[in-house]
Amino acid sequence: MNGKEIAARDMGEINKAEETRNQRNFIVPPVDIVEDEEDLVLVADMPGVDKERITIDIENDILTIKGQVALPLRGQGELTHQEYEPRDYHRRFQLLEGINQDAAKAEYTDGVLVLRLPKAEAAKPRQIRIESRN
Amino acid sequence: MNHWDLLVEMDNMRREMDDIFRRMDFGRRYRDRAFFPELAYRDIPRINISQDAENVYLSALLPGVEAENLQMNVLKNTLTLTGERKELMERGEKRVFHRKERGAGKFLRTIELPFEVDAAKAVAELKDGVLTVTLPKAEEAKPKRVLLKA
Repeated sequence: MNGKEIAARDMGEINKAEETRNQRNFIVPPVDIVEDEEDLVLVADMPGVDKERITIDIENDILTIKGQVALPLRGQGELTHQEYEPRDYHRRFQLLEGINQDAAKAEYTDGVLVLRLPKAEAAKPRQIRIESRN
Repeated sequence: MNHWDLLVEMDNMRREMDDIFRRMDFGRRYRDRAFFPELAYRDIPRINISQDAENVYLSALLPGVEAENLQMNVLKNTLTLTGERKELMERGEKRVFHRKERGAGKFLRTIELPFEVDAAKAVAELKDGVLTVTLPKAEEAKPKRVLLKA
């Protein structure tokens, strides 16, 4: 089995599509994509998002992750030093075959989103025993 | 006497170049990131500071850092944030990384404020990967109105 076949591909081109034409309105969250025997796991850093305001959609094998920033990321008063801007998160991936999309599970803890996409039975590695006949 | 030191000059130049690159627009995609492994040797966590007459407000992006792995110390006008972000998915024999954009490890950041703060009254909260700190200014750092005689 070629592991790459079921990896989620970054949709750079799709990110530039109409709805996200102005990329500066969004933060593209950094992700780790890890595959093991059972699942494909996507981990994304999305600090400052309310759990209720994260949407994960899978449509036509395109996975879209969106998160609306819910915390006021700056305190009161006058801003005197700035290194980040509170903006919504948005990123898309192309899912290739072999994912059981209906069984996907997501968790959001400490500003990190963990999305578990179980592999379809057909894509799991299977060992075939070789029998010898004398 | 004014000594000219090549190493110091080179170090200054490197720092200025880093600054220029960071400010340039092509770095924008990376600047927005809270943790990024490829450029992560400094400025972690990212912070915003605002203030009014009474308090200084600091917020820092710390996704994936648990409260027990984060320490904040205040001494006079210096605030130090130290901590560790643990690797969520350890590398394993049966695991394949298709993408690795998130960094992990220890960090230390010192923030120097232009005035002293009252550390005993500081309030800090870590929620959804964002640290919010309210630091009351020390009495002598607060602005005082001087009455004018007519």
